Formats: sequence, C-alpha cells, structure tokens
Amino acid sequence: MRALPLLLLLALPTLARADDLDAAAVEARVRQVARDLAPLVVEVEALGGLDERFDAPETEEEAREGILTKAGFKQAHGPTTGVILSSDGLIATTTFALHREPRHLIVTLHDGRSFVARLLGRDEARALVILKIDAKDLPVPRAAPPAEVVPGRFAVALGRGLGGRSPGVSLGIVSAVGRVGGRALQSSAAISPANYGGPLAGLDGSVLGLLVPLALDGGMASVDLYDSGIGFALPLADVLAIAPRLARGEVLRPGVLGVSPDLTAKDGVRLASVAAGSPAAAAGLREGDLLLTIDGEPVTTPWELRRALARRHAGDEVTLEVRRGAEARTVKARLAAKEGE
Amino acid sequence: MRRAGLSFDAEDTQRSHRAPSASSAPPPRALRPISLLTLLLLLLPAARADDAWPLPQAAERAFPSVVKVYGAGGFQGVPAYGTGVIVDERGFVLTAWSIALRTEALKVVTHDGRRLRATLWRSDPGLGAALLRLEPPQGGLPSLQPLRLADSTGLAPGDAVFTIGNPFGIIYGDERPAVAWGVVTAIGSLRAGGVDVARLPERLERVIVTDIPGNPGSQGGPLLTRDGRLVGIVGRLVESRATNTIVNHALPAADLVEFVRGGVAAERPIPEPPRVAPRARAGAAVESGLRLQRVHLARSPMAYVEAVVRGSPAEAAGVRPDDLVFRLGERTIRSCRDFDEALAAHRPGDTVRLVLKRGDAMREVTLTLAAGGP
Amino acid sequence: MSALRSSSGAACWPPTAPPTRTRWHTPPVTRRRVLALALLLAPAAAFAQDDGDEVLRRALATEAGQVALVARLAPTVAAVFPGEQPGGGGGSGVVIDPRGLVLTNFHVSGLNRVLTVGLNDGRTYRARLLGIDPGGDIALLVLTGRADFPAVPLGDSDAVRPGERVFAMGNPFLLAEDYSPTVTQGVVSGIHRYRDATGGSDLVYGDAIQIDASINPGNSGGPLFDARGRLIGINGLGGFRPDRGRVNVGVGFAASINQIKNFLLDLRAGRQCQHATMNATVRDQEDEQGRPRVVVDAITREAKAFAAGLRLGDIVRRLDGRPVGTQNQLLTLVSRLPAGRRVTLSVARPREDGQGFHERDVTFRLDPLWSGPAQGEWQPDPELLAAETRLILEAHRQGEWPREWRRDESIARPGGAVERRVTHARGRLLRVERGPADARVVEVWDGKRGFARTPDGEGPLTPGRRDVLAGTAEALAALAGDPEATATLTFTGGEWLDGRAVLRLEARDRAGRRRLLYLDPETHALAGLAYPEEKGAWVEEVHRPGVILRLDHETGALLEKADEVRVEPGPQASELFERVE
Repeated sequence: MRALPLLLLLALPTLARADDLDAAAVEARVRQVARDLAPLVVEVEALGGLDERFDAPETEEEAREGILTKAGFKQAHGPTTGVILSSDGLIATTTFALHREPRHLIVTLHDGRSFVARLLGRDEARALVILKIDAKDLPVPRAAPPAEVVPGRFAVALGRGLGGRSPGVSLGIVSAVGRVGGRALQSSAAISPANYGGPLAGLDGSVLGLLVPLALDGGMASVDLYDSGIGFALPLADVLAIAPRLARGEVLRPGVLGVSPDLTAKDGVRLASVAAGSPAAAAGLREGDLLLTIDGEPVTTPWELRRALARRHAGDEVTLEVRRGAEARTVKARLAAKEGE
Repeated sequence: MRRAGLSFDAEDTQRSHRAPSASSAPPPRALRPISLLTLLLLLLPAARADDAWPLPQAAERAFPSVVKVYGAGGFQGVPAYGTGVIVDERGFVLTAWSIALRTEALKVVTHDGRRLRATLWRSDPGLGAALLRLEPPQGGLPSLQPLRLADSTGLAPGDAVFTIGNPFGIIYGDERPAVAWGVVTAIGSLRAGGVDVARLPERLERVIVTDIPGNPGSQGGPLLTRDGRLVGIVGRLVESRATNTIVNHALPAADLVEFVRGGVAAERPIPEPPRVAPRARAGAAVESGLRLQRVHLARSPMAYVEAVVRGSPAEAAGVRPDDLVFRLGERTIRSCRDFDEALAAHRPGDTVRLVLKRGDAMREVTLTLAAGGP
Repeated sequence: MSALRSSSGAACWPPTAPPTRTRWHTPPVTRRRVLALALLLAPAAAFAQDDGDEVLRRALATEAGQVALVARLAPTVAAVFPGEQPGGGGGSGVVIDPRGLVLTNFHVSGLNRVLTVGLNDGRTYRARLLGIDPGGDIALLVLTGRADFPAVPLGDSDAVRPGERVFAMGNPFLLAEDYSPTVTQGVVSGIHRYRDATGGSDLVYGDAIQIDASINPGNSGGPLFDARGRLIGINGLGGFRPDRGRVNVGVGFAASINQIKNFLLDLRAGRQCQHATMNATVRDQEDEQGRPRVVVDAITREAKAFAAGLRLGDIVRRLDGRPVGTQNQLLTLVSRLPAGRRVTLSVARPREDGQGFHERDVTFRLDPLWSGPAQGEWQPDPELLAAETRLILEAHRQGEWPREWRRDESIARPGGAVERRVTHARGRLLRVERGPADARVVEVWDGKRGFARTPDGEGPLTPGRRDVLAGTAEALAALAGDPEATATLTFTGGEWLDGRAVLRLEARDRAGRRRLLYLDPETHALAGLAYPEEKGAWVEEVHRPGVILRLDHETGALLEKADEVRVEPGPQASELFERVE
C-alpha cells in the first residue's frame, strides 16, 4: 500500500485550491477506500442480556422487571461494528456493544463467517473494547501516522450497523484533533450506531481512527448525536498502543488527580483548588501551587494538564514538579478512579 | 415522522464466502521512475475545469424542474408540504408517496412561483412513490422543464449525491429550495418491523441510503449525482430500529421508470394498488422441526433450541438441543419472535441457512423446510 | 508499528517498533526512492503511474488544498466566553481586523462588557464589547493583548451560489479545550433566506445563507467561509427538531456578511444597531396567471413610506431594483438594511378604471425597528468610542487625498447652475458661492467675521446664513485638527452615501450646532457633509472627486442647485480672505 507524506504535500505551492475541488477524484477514492477496507470491518452482534427501552418505564411492572432505562438516552437494537487489529483475531470495538451486558458476542467477518468472540479488556475512558476471535490470516489496518491526521482531511466512516453485505459509508472531514482530553479526533462524517466501532479512513486507505460513541463530556454518547456532524474517533495509533494492556484483560478507567487549574492564570498551571481526599491532596499539593511538570513533561496550560492526565489511567503513579512561592518540590501521586466508578 | 421501527437489510442476500485473502487490499506496487517532464506537468493546477466542484451548475440546471407540493396534513407528524420533480412537460410531477397527497386541494408551486392545482394521478405506497398531474389553468399549462429519470444502477456506496428540497417548509413562492449534499451510504431494502406498520409498506425493496439528513418537507425532492443526473426521489422519513436513527434514503430511479411511464400513458388516474397485508405470505405454514425454549423470564427470549423433532429437516441438518440460532437466512435472530417471523417468510421446500452457536463455536447448517401442519 | 501491515498480511501484533515518521507504512524497498522524490520535487507525483495512482494523486492534491485552507483559517476563529474566564456558556467568533475586532452573535455576547476569547494558539485574550446589533444577532468585540491578530477578509455574500462548498468553523458544544476550532464542510443550500422566529427561538434571520454544513449549539457567532476562505457569513441559527435533541439536522443559517457590512460601522461606533421597517405590512397574492406578488395591506400614517406616497393596495415590484415576488423576499431586502437607509420602492397601483397600473417609484428613509435592550439602556463604552474616534481622526489628518474639486458641467443645470466654493484651510475659512451665474452670491466666514457679496454689492451675512456657515466651519476646523476649533467630534457609525458605506462623525460646536461629516472608510478623506439650511431642512453634500452634489437629506433627491466645492490649500485661502476683506 502507498502512503503519501501529507505534510510534504502541504509544502506544495497552493496549486490545489479548495474551490476547485477535484470531485471526481475524491469520489473515486471514497468508493475505492470503502471497497478496500471492507474486509477489515466486522459485524459485532450482542445477544441476550438486558432488554431496554428508550425512555422511562411506562409501568411500575416494567420498572420492576429491571429494564434498563435512561430517560432521553437512545440506544439501538442492531449490530455494531468492529475493526480487525491483528491477523490472529484481535478485534477493536466499543462499549456500545456491551451496554446491555450481552451473554453472547458474535463477530461476523466480511466473508460471512461468524465467530464467537471473547471479551478481553476495555478502556472506559475511551469506550474501547478488545475482543478476540479464533481466526487466522485476517487482514489488518494501516494506521495513519498521527502527524498526518490534520483538520480538513477527508474522512470516510464505515460501519455495519445497517446490516447488509458491504459496510455503510458516510463522508466528512477531520474537524479537529485532540478532543476529549486529547483522546479523540473529531469528524463531521455521520457517526452513529450505524458505524460505532468502525474505521474512519483517509482517502489514501489508511485508518485515521476507530469510531467511538464518546459523548461531548467523555461519557457515552446517546444516539441523539447521530447526524449532528460531530463524532469522535480514537486515533488508531493510540488504539494499537493501548490494545496490549486490554488484551491482557485490564479494565482501564480515567485517572483523577483532584486539582482544578485557575483558567485565568497567565503564568502557567496554577491550582485554583485541590479536592479534599484526592491524590493531589495526599501528595501535599495546595491551592496556589504552580504545577510545572508531570513525569518530567512540562505543563504550561490547563489544556496540557488535562491532556497529560487523559493519557493516564486510574492507578498510574505520576511524578509532579510544583513550585510554591520560591520553593520547588517534587511529589508523587497515584491517580484515583473517578467517583462512582 | 414515522416511528415504525424499520430494520435494514441487504439488497443482495448472498453473503460472499470468499477466502479472506481474496478480499484483502491489493499488494504494494513497485514504483517506476518519474520523468521530470511529468513532474512539471503535475505542477500545473491540479484540477481540470470539468473536475471542479460541479454542484452550483448542476443545481442551477435542476432548479426549474423542482416544485413545491402542498397537500393536506400536518396531522400525526405527516408534513403537509413536500417537494416534487417535473418528469414530463405535459404536467407530471413525481414525488414521494404520502397520505397528505390524498386531497382535493393538492397544489403544486413551480419554480417561478406559479401555484397550480394538481391531481394524485398514480400512487404506490409499496414503491413509496406518487405521480401528480398538474391541472392546466386558464390559458393552459405554462412551459415546464422536465428532468428525466437517469440510470441509477451504477450507483455505489461513496458516490457523491445531492438533494433539492424544502425542509421545514422554509421557502415558498418562487424561492429556490434547499440544496444538500452527501454520499451514498448503502443500497439496500427497508423492512418493516416493530409495532406501527399501519402507515408503512411492509418493505421498500430497494432504496439508496445516503448520509444527507432528511427532514419534513425534503421528501419527494430529486436525488442527483454531482453532475446533475436524476437518480432517485427522496423518500419519506423512516426510522431504523436497528440504529435508532432516521434512515435517510431515496427511491432509485430505475424502479420508478415503469411507474412514471405507465402513469403518463394512462387516460385517467390509476387507483392505488391494494396494500399487501403484513405477513400475508405467512399463510403457508412451514415446518423446520426445531423447537425453541419459550421461557418467559424476559420479554423476548433468545432462540435456544429446546428439542429437535425426530426425522425433521432440523435433525437432518444436524441441529441439536441447546444450540442458539443466530441467523436464519440473512436475518439475525435475536429472539424467538425473530425466528418465527423469519421462518414465516419462507415456503415449504425452501432451503435456508442456519447459523448456530454451539458452545464456543459457530456452525452453519442448511435445511430444507417441510410443509407444516395446520 | 509499521510492521502491522506486512505485505502478506500475516500476524504482526503487538507492535514492536516505535513509530517513526519515515518508516510509516512505506514498504522498505521503495522507501528511499519515495523520500528522495518527495523531498526533491513534488511528492504528489511520485505515484502517478496507472489510473488508480493518478486518481489517488489527484484526490490527495485536492485534499491538500483543503487542509492548507483550514490551517490558514483556523487561527482566526475564536472561542467566545461571556465573562472574565472561559467556561460556562459560550460560542464562537472570528477576527476580522488585525487590531482584534471580532464578530460574534449577540446571543453569545449578550450585554457582557467584558468577555474572554480563546484562539487556536491555546491562549485566552480579554475582549471588550464594542457594539451590538440585537436585530441582526451580531456583536463586535475588540481583543487586547496582542498587536497583530490573524484576521480574515470579508467576502461578498451576494456572489454566493447555491451548491457552492462552504466551511463552517467554531466551537460547537464548547468542545475545544485547547481553543482549536471545529471545522465542518458542506454546501450552500440557499441564499437570501428569511427565517422567522420559530421553535422557541426569538431570533429572526433576514438575508441569511442556508447551509447543510453542520452547525450546533456553540457554533453560534462562528465564521462561514467560502471555498477560497473568504468570510461570507456568521453562523447563528440551527434547524433543530424536537425529536432529535438540539443537534444539527443539516439545516443551518448564517447571517450574510453583506448584511453585517451594512451595520459594521455602527458596531464600531459602539452603537446598538437599529434594523429597519417600512411601517407597512404586505401580503402574498397571486396575479391572474397564478404568479406571486406582494401587496401593501396596511400602512401607518406615521410611516415615512406613507409620507413619500406609498399607499394601501400598492403592488411592490422592486426594492432598489431587486425584484420582489414574495413577502419573504421583501422582508429579506428590508431586514438587511439599517434604519434611516434611503430606499426606492417600485410599485404598481391599479388604475381607477381597472385598466392596468400606474407604475411609480417611492423613495424614503426606512423607519427604525427597535430590538434588544430598551432605548437608552445600551450606551457606547466612552473609552472605546473615544479610541475609535481618535483612530479615525488620526487617519484623516495623515491622509493624502485630493483637495481640489473641479466644476462638473454635466450636473450644472441650465439656469440653476450654481458654483459653490468651500475653502477650509485648517478648516476655519469658509467661502461659499451660491446662486446662478448671473446672480452669484459669495459668502465668506473666517470663524469670527463674515460677509456676503451679491450682484447688488457687499454686506454682512444674515444671522441665519452666518449660523449655517459658522457651524460648518467649526466642524471642518475640528476635523482638520485646528486647536482653536470649538466643535467636538464623535464617531457615530456608518452612513450610506453615494452608493457606498462611509464613516459618520457628528460635530457639535460650542453654540450647539450639529453637523455630520462623512469620511471614506478606506482613505479617510472627506466624502461628504450634512447640515441644516436656514429653514431647518437638512442638506446632504456628496463629495465626488471633482464634484459636489447637494441632495435633499430626506429623499436623496438632487436639489435643483448643483454646487461645486473647492478646498484650497492654506496660503491661497488667506490671500483670498485678505482680498475680499
């Protein structure tokens, strides 16, 4: 497969203007990418588990039956999607497949073969799930280099949520990168239960990311966002980096330090508050401290702090360098799990 | 909007059984040296004029053929307004079928703002389409600019398409309707499911699903390729139970050609064909010889096999108790009810594929259905 | 990680090698050659071999153009938070001037005098609210903290076509923790849309651009760009459906930039902009052929349109030459104009005998349509207004522009031709020639003294004429920076003069006399004046190069007398004064 160094393309004089978009070429590539990547895109069926309704239970009886309810939180009944990660059957999908706590997970490949899937591990902060099927010689994706995933690139979303032999296609662009604490890229392609767990691909056939039902605040998205033009994907490179831990059966959760930065501070990350009982408090951090580095990596804005923490998980130990007045100190803290998890 | 709970399945019911290697991406190609001349040529502006973004011109050509349609309605979430396409200069307008069209007060407003009376000339809920005929006002019909149905059979997922319509009824008179673009998501069929099928056909056999959001008033508008060929008519709003999203779709032009031709040739309005009652085909009972566990702990239990009738097709195929039926034909079986419905769609003698989960493995069997008892 | 996809597709997981830029997914055999070609020449060419490669090359080249465009525009897009710090509610904005002028929606800024704006450099800047346009849902902010902000040029929204590609940028759902904007692309669905208040929103959008690019809550105030990166609108209104939550459904509206241009100078002047009404209502009708037309079905006696002759039952054909077929179209045309703008309605009035129509033009200034805070509640920030006025005056005084106007015979009407010379060296000295050639009146005023010379002889100015000349002389002296000038100048917004928008300065001298001075917004040269004549009716002077037109301030009608003004350099002016004295 060929990958063009996009950054080098950018160095071209501005020959290609967006106003004379080569629509024929883009269209031909979208078709081609949909065909080429179809074998990577699998259907994930979740059978059994909790029944559910869209809205609050209508009767007390329904409420007693333990029907999963969440007012205004729409889910879906159809299959969801996954992407093959390794030729021996590791599959990435999303927690969307698991929200009903299914008894059986069945993966169907593009060639029609079905496999029983085992759930290995999950990353709650990314809504990412790793499954395993007993298959061999599967095709694997080509991840787009993170530096080449930039706003304005076309983004082809593929999924099997609609059923059918070939994956459904929707087209958008990369809207932004580094969203949800740096965990996700954002695309304007229609992203919904029709393609959660599917790949977001570039025109060159590389996979930019894995489509995930992340909500705006990092929680799980409701179906309501489905053609909002706002959808998230985990950079595939991140998925590949984190997959070994999940494949070992780990369940990763967002890590909490327990500090709130002063958003108006001009001199760096100054702590506006430190939550009582939090890892930060245990490490001796106080309101007014200036946070300089995390694990040696400088943090100069609230955003960098958020991004640094978003890359870590509950249970991870971090080394923090802080300044209080003229005094500099180095402390260690072990990130906690978010309350309620 | 109709919340009838549709599900979506494939146009082509035969899944490919090719080996995975056959369908994987092509191997890398070697590179050949590139001449300097080629490179210099490539430094010329990247896009040729005919490759430039063609929608403004295509929309400009299509606008005179797009009309606003006003029927009766506004009740039960059915919009009274919609969009249509002039498909014949003798005054025929193609639009999406809607109950709102069943009115004496049907009006059509042409691109120059003329308001004309119209008659529901031909309609077919099963097809999802309706053909209106404009009534000539005093002085005769104004000159109309039709858009011809084009060949839609070559459309494939990923193709750039656009629609023209009047979402939310924002515009009226001689104002131009709204352009929206996207790509073909899939070509498939819509199957009725869920509870509220009263206002829906059982099945729309073939639709073009797109990623262009549909809204009240969009229905009936043209679906055009980026160079302006009429490849479909935007369908009414239906929601998929599988994804819990609205399935933005259009009816392919190929399936409308006969409908239009027949309508234009007719001397008088053609009565609507009778509705095919859902499950009408379930009349001939079939027997698989497979008995499911019908426990009522959950509302709709999964299709576990409780017993296999001796000498039955199921036994012949090797189905065993405790197998979980995962698929029958192309249909995913999530519940006993799914199984019953899927089976009811078949006739004695049909050969169906069953995909079963047995322990931690999946297996596939084929069985030939027998005639069932009363 | 490049090992993930070996050519055989065999198992190569988990990744073993750390990712490096050059190793990504380029087969080892060809890697070196690709790099060499890529670095030396056009990398896009490296794969142009067969059709498939050619298509890929073209697709990536066209995509690269889009990426470059987005990268160029992103630094101009603002995340706008009302208040002293980011968070809470908020919206979007766009920088339109390097000194930090930011357009956003009024429904984002509200009446917050201080706001916080984040740019994609990851920093936040303090912003102050300069002017508001509640009727157009626009607000203008000015940023501090940097001398030269990245800014975008304003486009021409009247040149936009349906189907054209557009990019919407902004901060939907306040997703941008690092203030990097979200970009979505789509097409123009329609132009000149009129969107009445619906669905719980009280926003009325006239002359809006309808788009299918997704805009969501938080996109409000953000820019809509055409495919060349020109600002064509401010996104502000989404089409939402109750059954789908408050998210985009492919129907969004942006206030057109041409409408905003009509109010931009008022916004800079710190005003609460006033949109316009005809004080008449119209209704849609069909003619005998079933074609739509618009008929006046109510009009108040107080309406300027009524005073100008518009009557019940008139069929409105055109407004300023633009055809009107529906109520929406008329509302669109009126809603994009500020109160006080002169318009010409072309109307048809059915003849009394029922045979055909009288066609006529009615010209009048539009009445104000007040919206937003009650009158008087909003006042310009005196500090910001003084700064804007100072900027304009400095630009005027440093400006280089012709100070000579020559007589244009083409507008000198036979019998009515009058020469009028205004001399304002340092502003103070004013010489006016009025009246037909055979009855020429020359008036001179130097700030303290004045006289008139008529064919009958010389004498003092009448008190009325003296007042007219003195007021104008004081205003011009202040404009020129004369330290002895008693008039104070205030930038009060924009005016439509001679077919273009000009800056309007209001002068008030010690005696309470009021004059309006109009400056070209680009060169800051004097573009015209307005002043009251003796009887109180206001005259508007339009200064074209070489020509001065005198118009009726209300109707814009060219007065019978077409005058000429010459502004002469100082020494000559003093000589002149000495001579006449």
